Amino acid sequence: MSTASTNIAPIATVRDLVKIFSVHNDKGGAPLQLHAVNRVGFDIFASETLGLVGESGSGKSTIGRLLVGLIPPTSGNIELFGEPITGKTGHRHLSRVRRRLQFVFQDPHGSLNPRMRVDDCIAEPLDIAGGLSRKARADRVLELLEIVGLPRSSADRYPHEFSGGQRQRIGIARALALRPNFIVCDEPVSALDVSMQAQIVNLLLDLQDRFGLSYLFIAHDLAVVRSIARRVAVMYAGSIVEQGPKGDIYRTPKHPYTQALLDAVPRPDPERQRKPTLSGEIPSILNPLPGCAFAVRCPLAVDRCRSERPMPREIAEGHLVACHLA
Amino acid sequence: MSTLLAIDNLTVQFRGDAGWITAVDDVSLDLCEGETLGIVGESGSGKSVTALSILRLHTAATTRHPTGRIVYAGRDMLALTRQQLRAVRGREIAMIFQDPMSSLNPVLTIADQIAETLSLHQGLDAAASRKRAIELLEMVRIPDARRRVDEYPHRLSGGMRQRVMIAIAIACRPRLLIADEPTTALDVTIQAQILDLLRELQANLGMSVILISHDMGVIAEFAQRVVVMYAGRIVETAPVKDLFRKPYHPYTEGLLAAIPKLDVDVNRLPTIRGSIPDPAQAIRGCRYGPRCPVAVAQCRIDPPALLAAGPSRYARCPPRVAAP
Repeated sequence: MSTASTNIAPIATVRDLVKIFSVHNDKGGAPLQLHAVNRVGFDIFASETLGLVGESGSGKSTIGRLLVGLIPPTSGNIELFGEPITGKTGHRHLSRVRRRLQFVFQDPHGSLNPRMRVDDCIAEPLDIAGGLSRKARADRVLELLEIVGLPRSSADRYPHEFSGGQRQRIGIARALALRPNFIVCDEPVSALDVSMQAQIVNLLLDLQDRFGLSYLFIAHDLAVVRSIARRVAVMYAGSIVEQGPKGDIYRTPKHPYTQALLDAVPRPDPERQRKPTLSGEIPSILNPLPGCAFAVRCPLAVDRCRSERPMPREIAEGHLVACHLA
Repeated sequence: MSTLLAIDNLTVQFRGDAGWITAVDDVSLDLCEGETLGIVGESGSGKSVTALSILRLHTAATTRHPTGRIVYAGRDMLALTRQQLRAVRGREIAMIFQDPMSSLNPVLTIADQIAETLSLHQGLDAAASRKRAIELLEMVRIPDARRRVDEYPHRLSGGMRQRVMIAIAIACRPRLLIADEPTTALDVTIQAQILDLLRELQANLGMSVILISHDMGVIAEFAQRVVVMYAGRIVETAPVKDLFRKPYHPYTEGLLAAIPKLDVDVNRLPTIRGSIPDPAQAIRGCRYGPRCPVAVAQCRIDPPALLAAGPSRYARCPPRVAAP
């Protein structure tokens, strides 16, 4: 796959990634196979943001969890900083790269221990890594608070004393503690009000400029992703149906799903006329159908779409579309 | 068009750790027959509390009886007895909420839940209400309604559950539907379907709708007239096209600017500085003053009044309205 838009080696390479969960069968018998991630591939380069968008159940969060090693893949390869973290020796490599990799979650309330003071929340990764004097630890916490735009006085308060936006700043400070190169952000602004969202998005952009961070930015909100990503991958029912530079995806989307998704978003413009709504719902990812997962809802589907799964094809530089008709 | 609902000087207070907290402060608005009113605001703006007050759905133990007047079709809602109120709830005014799963009873089939409303308000027997339930599911475009009517809520997707909630809400052909963030928990393609459905039902049944949302996009698409709330007060009200074309209040303006743009690339989003005020803390003058980029000295002293700013337009911002 040639998503390379630069000659530098990617910091994350994902190929043919598959994650199947076995789930209880209500009707008895063998467990059902839930194909959460179905042969996914992408690269992420230094200091760039790949936006991963999709509706619920599309598999986007599962990819985030696979990438940071929270769950093992069923098959496929993930390389981080040139080290394979999947396969037999993957675990050894993962522990080596783990410090360079962090995670920011959607719900800053649920991901911060309510009984820990803010300085301890932020310093927890430092404590686990070890090797800092008390003074150095305290200094680093104050520095991190300043970096994310929180007052120094926040250090000895508790997470519940902060608003949602401020809690997300604490979560980001904690993620930055070990000076990572790559942060997986899973819906980091979805729980926030609009006025807070913009502040956090801008903070993430500033941090990227300042520290050369790469982000995998997972979100359902296409507009938020446009405001932060350089490249975008669109997921549907476990697969990436389209990926490419942001401009291509938003201005000239080629996959019928991407087109429908963009059209369905309500705009703050009362004069706008939406096209007829996409009918149906996301299909079950239990025992997926042989063809294109979108075929049952696709206004353009032909027989081939129902029998043969479309694989990603590069239609312009770095712009890949998994559609027989694109 | 005649007025269906008029809210005058509504104030709602909750019990806080240290005294009463004002969640809705002196809110007045009205709604015409057949009209769609959008109420937009961020967390803590008082938009949902205002809506819940119409049906008096607050817990008495934690809420002071609201002051002001809510007049629905000639009746003062705040003065109705419990029994009179029950005759209005669900029959004349229906409500749908953000999370259909917590509004539906998980141990009752869809047929049973719809029958509850039908037997209470229309006295239908089991066979008649089952027939009507299937009709209603077809009206809200649930495929295979005859089979689905006997299922339990957990078997349905989020979008289908919201359709069931809508079916229950329209069962008695209400004159007013209050929809509190009805699509917030749904995916964007499903949200579009539900908004289409609500629009269609409104046209067919001639209902008035109050749509409460934090999403300016949903408001723009659905509402005819918009009320913008901030920290318990109305800061601006206008016909939808006017509001989006030219917001008067700096908060409305800031909120619109801060929305991530889907159709253009922006380098950095404009932000509103600071955060929403703590409702327990009193603010002198304008509540938006501490965050407002155009605040003048006067704004920090006098609480601003809601001023007429044009045809059917009001804004709580003397500097802007006096010299727009």
